[in-house]
Amino acid sequence: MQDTIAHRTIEYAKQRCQALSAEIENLQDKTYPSASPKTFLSFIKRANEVIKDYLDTIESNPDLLDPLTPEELELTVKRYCKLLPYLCYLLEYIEGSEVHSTPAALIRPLRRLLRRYLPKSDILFRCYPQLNYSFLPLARQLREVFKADVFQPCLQTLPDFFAVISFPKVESKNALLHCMVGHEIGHGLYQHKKLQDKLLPVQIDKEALESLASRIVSTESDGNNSSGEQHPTQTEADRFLSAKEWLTASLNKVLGNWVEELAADAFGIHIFGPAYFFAFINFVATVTLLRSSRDSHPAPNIRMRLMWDLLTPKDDKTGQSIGFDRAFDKTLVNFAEKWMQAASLGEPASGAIHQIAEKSITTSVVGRICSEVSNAIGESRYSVKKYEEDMPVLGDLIKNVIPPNEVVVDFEKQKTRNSDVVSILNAGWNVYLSEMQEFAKNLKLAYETNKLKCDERLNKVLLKAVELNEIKTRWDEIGND
Amino acid sequence: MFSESKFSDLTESLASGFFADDVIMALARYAKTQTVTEKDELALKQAVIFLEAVLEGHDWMDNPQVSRNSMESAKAFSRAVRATTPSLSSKLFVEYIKDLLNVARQLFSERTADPTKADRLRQFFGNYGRAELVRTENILEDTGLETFR
Repeated sequence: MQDTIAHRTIEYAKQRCQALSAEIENLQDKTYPSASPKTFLSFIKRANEVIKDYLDTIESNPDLLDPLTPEELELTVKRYCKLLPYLCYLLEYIEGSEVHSTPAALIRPLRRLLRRYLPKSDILFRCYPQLNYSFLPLARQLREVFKADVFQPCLQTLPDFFAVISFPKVESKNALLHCMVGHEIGHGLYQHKKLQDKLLPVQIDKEALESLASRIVSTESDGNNSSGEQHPTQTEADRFLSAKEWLTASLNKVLGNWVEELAADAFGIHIFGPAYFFAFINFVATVTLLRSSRDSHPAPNIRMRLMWDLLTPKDDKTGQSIGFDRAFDKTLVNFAEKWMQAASLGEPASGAIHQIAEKSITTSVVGRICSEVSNAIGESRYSVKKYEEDMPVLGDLIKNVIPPNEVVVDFEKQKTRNSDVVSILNAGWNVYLSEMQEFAKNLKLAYETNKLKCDERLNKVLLKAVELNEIKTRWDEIGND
Repeated sequence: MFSESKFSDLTESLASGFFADDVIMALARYAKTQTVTEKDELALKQAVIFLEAVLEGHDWMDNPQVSRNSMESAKAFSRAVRATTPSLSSKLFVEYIKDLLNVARQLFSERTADPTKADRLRQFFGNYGRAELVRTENILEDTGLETFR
């Protein structure tokens, strides 16, 4: 290849590959709470090597890209170079997934929980500085970018379903809050079970859309030109096409996101029961307004309504609750009712696009989401019956500052049963919301003046329970091998 | 550090750019050899699917329903608008895309097309590829992720 800009670019890009390679080696020596980060690191390493090989190939075989103009050649080379900052970004996921950065005790149980629903999947849990939980379907995205034949060997190292779930680093010891992970696993299930095909289409109010379009565009644009002969001025034409493009892109993106978010909430409830609802309120109350929608998420009040409906179904004949609320004590009922009331107050605080999107999320759309998610999760959901069994026993242990990792079922025969992470966290929420006075008393602390300290201790008890439970589960698994 | 949605945008932008590069390469090879290879045929098929989606996206407001298909065509419509310079009226835009679609279809099914028209198609995908690269850079820059500037 001649000494061109493309040639120089290739040479410099190879230096970047070299630097990336050194960083990958460095990260390979660190300790992680599961095998997922190293699996992922192998992919990044291989992809980096393939990029370098490709750059070598086009450098030594200029005929390969010969038909391209110099400008087109530069474009192609630059595109390959852009894969390097992309790979660098992927390394950030690895950095946040080291043992000391994550709630390590929770990682294996949560992975186990995920695999109950998605057996052939793998997940990388990492902590990041944002005060947020998030889900990223990495394998799917990587397959989209690294589609070219040259990358196929490195993609083979990835599991079919491989995702990243991120935790807020500052809350890494807050076990109760981590029930939010139920929602993130829900994203995985939504995508894996292809629920989009079942939950869409969603109809948009055409009149409202047209009215918004006409507010944006002048009535003189060609769309409204009755003669159809005269072309509008460039500015008007530009505005019309741009407005159309913007409305089409925005509404499709927003509604696509919202339906997935609502479905993920429904999964969160089925996986974690009331614990997800309580964690959601606890988290959302501090980070957003209850009636404020965003492009990525519908307003929390819409989400809470869906969750509450799922938690509190009524018997068709008697009208009596057959949901979790029948097992709630008064304090829990009051807590939930207060929040649901707050969620129904005030005007929507959204922009025009969000208002149209909110109108599109009708009762029937919500009903469809609830029923399709219920079908998708089947019998493996956390049930009301299980909740009713768990709460008194596990709650008592927690109140007495005993990690509720196992329950004695037959004292004389010394028979115990393991309580899983979902049961432990639900019991934790029950104590947190209605029995902290007693918990504090057993810690020999006055609750009113030591609230945060008591919360911290509660989370420690729960994390310890999860950790002990995992040890026992692993022990049993090894015994059965 | 940037959000997962930005990361998804970046993924989409890169993938869409590689798609444009594949089509450009197929058209460049056609310009040079007047033949369409098996591999290029695949790229041209994707170009046809893309241009059909652009037209669907353009007409979406006539029956505004959000579906998996409409989400894809909305994206295609946005990309085509970004690749169209100078900007056109809605009517001219549709005519322009229809012309390109006819050439792409002809190249795909008959493996031949008028060289001038094929060149227009190549120019469009050239603009598309450049616009997508700019978008990729903007996403990286917005987020402070561009480490090699």
